[in-house]
Amino acid sequence: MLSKTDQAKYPFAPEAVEYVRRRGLTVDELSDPSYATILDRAEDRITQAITEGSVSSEWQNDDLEILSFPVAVYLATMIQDDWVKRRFALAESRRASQFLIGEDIDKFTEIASKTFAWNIEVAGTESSRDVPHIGIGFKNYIKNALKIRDPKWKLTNRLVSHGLVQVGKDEAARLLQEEIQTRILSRMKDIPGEEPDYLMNRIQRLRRLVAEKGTVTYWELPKIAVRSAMPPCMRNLYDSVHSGKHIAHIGRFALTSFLVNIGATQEDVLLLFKTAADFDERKTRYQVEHIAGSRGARTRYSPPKCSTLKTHGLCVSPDELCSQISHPLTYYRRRLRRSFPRGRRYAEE
Amino acid sequence: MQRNEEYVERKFEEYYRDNVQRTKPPPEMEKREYGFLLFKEGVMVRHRAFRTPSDLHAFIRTTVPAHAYNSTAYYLEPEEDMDRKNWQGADLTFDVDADHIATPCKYVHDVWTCKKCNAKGKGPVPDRCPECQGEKLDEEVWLCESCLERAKEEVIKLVDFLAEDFGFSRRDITTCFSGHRGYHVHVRAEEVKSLDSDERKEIVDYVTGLGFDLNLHEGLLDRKSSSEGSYVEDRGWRGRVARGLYEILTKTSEDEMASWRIKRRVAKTIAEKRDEFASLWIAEKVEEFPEGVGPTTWRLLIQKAVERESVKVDTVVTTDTHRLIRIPETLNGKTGFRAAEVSSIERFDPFSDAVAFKGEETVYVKEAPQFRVGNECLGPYSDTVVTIPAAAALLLISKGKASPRRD
Repeated sequence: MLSKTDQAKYPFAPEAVEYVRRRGLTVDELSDPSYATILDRAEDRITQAITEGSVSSEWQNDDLEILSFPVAVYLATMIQDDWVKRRFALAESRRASQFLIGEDIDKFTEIASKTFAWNIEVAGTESSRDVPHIGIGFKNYIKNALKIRDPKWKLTNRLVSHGLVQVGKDEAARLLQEEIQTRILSRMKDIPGEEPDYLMNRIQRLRRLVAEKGTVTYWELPKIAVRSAMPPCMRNLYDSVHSGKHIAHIGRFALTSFLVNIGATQEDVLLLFKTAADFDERKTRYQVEHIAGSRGARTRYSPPKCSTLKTHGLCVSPDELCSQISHPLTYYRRRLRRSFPRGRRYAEE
Repeated sequence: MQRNEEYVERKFEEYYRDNVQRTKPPPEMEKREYGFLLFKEGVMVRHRAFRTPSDLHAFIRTTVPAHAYNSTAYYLEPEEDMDRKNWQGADLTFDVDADHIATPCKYVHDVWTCKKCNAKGKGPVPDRCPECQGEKLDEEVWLCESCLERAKEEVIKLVDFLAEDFGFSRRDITTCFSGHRGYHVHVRAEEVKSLDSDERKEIVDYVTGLGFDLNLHEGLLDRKSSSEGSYVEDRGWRGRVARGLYEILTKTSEDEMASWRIKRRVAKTIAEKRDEFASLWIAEKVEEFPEGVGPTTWRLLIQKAVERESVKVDTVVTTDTHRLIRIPETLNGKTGFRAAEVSSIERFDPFSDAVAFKGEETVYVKEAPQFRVGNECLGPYSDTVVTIPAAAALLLISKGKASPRRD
């Protein structure tokens, strides 16, 4: 069981949720001035998240930490900004991860296995080392390691044995951080109701802070597909199709989804595939419409990311820029920006 | 050609009349989608569902498909359109196929034809026709003993990865012959069902060795004795690389090593002292490497070891969570062989264990390489009428290399 101090460290744990529930704290009650300190701490958590990307690990008392967390989740959701949600979840997960590193190995594994249902085992020490190794179920490992971009997290570069992936304690804490982030984000999915009056000021203040922090600006892509800005993989697929070569289904999917995302019309894509050896207009039209989102699930498919293209052997002759990006669309945007440095910018909604 | 197809269909009909109950529906069969490729005009029937084995059997017996598939996925509504099926999970599936393995014998038995100028050649299809630069080429592949032997080796390696590294119980791993040039390996365990495509990709990257970075495998090249025992006993990729190195060092000729861009002088040193270098990997770990082979060469050798120990699989099949895959114990329309479930991969002989048809047939063979069915070695044939085992006749006819003799 988690102690009250533990709950203050890990306020997303079921024990903390239960504690808050038993206290019977409701949204309406929060307007009572006696709860001002909780609201202050909640706002403080979000402010720190926005400005610093982390939440400080100091606290006044356990109760305040436990109770201010769900209030902060509520308040952050009220801002209705995806960036704030992600930033808040990241900052809170970093805070928890800091505490986790400091825990002894028993407490650490208890939290991983009880709070997050991880398959985790402490292995003996390996001869010359004193640090115990931790084995994490491959499924728990993959789910979280996938979100971290660094070759050292790739499963291929890990010791995997009998279903367990060997990691150090700090690495396990890093993976738990991802898990925590996911859990907090999942609590912020619900669309909040009306903004209560007593929170208006705080919400306004936080929104202003977000605005000051600066809005991310994006490039508006040209309305036509620019071949010279395509990454090598897509140019290769494009040229293959163009010269009537047969390419595998996955390659056709990658190219089509890429093209419809950079402004090519469905007719453009169809025209391109017409030269293919095995062109079947009805079938191709159906597939292109599916990928473009004008049929079926009605969502436009994104092209596969670099790692997926690599798995399927579609990544060919990567260049300098490829080493800096992880998605073909990012390559395309960057290349365009370099070619047309004074294009139009707009702020993302 | 038309006559050939009718002949094969008639044979399949006879087979299914007596043997359809051998067909093995997958576990939780009612949650699967079924698909069938019919002989007639190559029509694909999809989005079918069956509640009981006998429903499925009745369908196959009356429809007589050239190919029969079930989804690797589990759905709440398998008969609905893709978007409304309500995906519940999927088996973890691997497709090992000679198409993905570079075997030298492909230059003997695989043929391509240029659609433009009719030029022919052997081996894997080139990008362009060397005669007319045409890029539209047809390929005709053959299922050969050594290709299938290589595929078997891949399956053995794969199952070892799944059992030893991923810890799956061997009871949860099923291997089936595809009926053509390879094998399907199914992992059916509760924990794999919910894996998404990206997560499956990590598993497939692991078994294919994609992204292997030597610098991140402590103790291989830097020789830090980070664990007890010898390298070949190590777990995971480190042990695999050591075992691969041992094999390479004991067996590779000087010339072959030189062809890997290893300096002739170094290749000579290795060949001369191969036992000494090989024993490094089976003996207790040491801090120092003997002289004569530098880090650049070791890196090259380790890369070769990774290639050797990695499994060649069709990456698309494993990462596709909505895949259709051949139903075990149905007939493959490309060959007339059964997609037989394999109980022991080491002992499995596709050319006798997957034979579906008994008796003999007299056929006209246009052209066929040497091959074997059961204990009988057949061919090569050219423009001749022969009486051969029915399974062999069906194979040649399905492949368009022979036609039924006119009565």
